[in-house]
Formats: sequence, structure tokens, C-alpha cells
Amino acid sequence: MEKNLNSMSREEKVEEITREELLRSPEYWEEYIKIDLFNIVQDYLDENKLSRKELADKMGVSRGYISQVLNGDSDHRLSKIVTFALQAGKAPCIYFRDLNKVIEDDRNGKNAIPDFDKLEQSLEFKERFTQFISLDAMSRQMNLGFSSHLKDGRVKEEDEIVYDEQGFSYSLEQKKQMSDAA
Amino acid sequence: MYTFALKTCKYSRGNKVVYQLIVNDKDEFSKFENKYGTKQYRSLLLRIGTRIENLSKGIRLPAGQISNIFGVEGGFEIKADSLRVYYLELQNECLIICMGGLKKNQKKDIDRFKRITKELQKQLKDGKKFEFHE
Repeated sequence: MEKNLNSMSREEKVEEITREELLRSPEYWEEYIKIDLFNIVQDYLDENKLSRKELADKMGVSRGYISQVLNGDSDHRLSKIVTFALQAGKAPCIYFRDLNKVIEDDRNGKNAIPDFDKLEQSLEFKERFTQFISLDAMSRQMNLGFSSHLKDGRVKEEDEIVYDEQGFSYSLEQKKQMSDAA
Repeated sequence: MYTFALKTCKYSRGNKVVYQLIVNDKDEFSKFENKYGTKQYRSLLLRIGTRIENLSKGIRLPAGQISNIFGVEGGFEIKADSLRVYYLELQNECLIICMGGLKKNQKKDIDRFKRITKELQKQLKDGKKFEFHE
């Protein structure tokens, strides 16, 4: 009995890992950077059909170091991360967000790390579309009969069209994309 | 004979849904997290969780973090130092985390993983519907 009590008191109490603990951990953010760096380097090797040795020679590092990156091992110096990114034709934009906001977004089902490519595409689309709906509004004011139902992929005839309070028209799908981008 | 149920994993955050497999009423992944959530292994568990999240987003993992399980179609192991997690990927749409363990018990764990996944794939092929747990 005494032996059992002693072993029970020595047992560490284990708390379940929560999303908040995960997002507050250095491990989470380190892993994302390592995995991102791996994918950038691997894509670069594949696209340029380079061997690890050729890349190592280009960057003035050892082949062993390239292997570490490709294995997702090791803690990298900031200067090396920057060098790898630039070599692969990528600008290493570093983006800091309020952690509490990230945790709150995660709780609401949003990604902790935004998909910047998608965001860029949405903003580009929003910019182009804003120009388009300006033309549309103008033409309706002038009663020119400019059709919103174009077939170039911006608005398809079969899309359901909605109008906002200013009279601009766009499809439900485009309205959703603009809300997501905002 | 195994009975299976599923539960959505807290690391599921992308287009590929991640489930935890419940085998004979035991949630294997939660059992693994409870066992190795101690100070000694907690950092590795956090890394594994992050890697699962990346997989659910369709992001490729480096070779040092993941490998195929020979003899199990769609079977993979996620590696983090001395810990291993074994999962099945189905039709590029979802991941089912089957179990986890220590690297030193790899052979025994992989054998068990093969038995479980063989039965799981058979039941899936037979059109069996699984219960979902909260």
C-alpha cells in the first residue's frame, strides 16, 4: 500500500495540450518556419534540377547543412534563413501579429497563419473588381446598358447577382471573396 | 476483431480533416498524449501536433519528420526525436491517426498498426459506417 502511494505521488500530473498552449509554444512557430524553409528549398532544387551538392556550392555551405534543412533538423541562424530564401527567389517577409488575437482567431476557426498567397490574390481581385464595378455603376447611371454578365470569368451569366446599397452589382461568390479579403 | 469510431483531432485545421481513431472504445491518440504529456516529452508532443496541423493543410513535411510505413498503403509515421505517431491517409482527403509510441517500441507498434489498419481498411471497403465521438 505504502509503495503504491509513493509511486502515485511521484507520477507527474499530465494536462491535456490545448490549442492555446500550442499557439503560445515556441515549438509551434519554429516548426512552421522550418517546414516553410524546407519547402522553399526543396521546390527550388526540383524546379532547377539541382543536386544538394550543387546548391551547397552555390550557397557556400556544406552539403551536410543542406541535408539538415531538407530533413527539417536544426535551429537556423537568421542570416542563413535569409540567404536560403533569397537564393530560392523568395523575399523573407517576417510578419508579427498580436498573439492574443491569433489565439482568438484560432478559437473562431480561422487559421493562425494566414495564407498570404490567397490573400494577395483576393486583394488583387478586389482591386480589379473595384475598377470593374465602378465602370458598371457609371454605365448604369448613364443608361448605357453595360452588362454585368460577362463571360470572361469575372461574372458569369449563371451567377446569382446581388446589389449593395449603392447599387453596385456583383455575384454572391465575388461578395464572399471581397469579405474574406477584408 | 476491432471496433472503430472516429473523433475530430484538435490539430485538424486544413482541407484534409484529421481524425483520431478509437479502437475498441479506446482513443489511442489521446492515450498517447496523456502518457507522453510529461515534462520530458511535452516539447516533442507540441512539435508533433504542429506537424499534424501542417499535414492537414496539405503542406509537405521534410524527410526527417515523416516516412512511409512499408506494407501499409497510405500508412505513415510522424517522427519527433524519440516519439512516433502512426496514421493512415485516405484518398488524399483525410488523415486517421491510429496510435503513437516510443521509437524504441517501433517494431511492436508498427506490427500493431498494420493489424489495425488492415481491419480498418477492410471495414471501410465493406461500407461500414463509423460512429463519431465528440
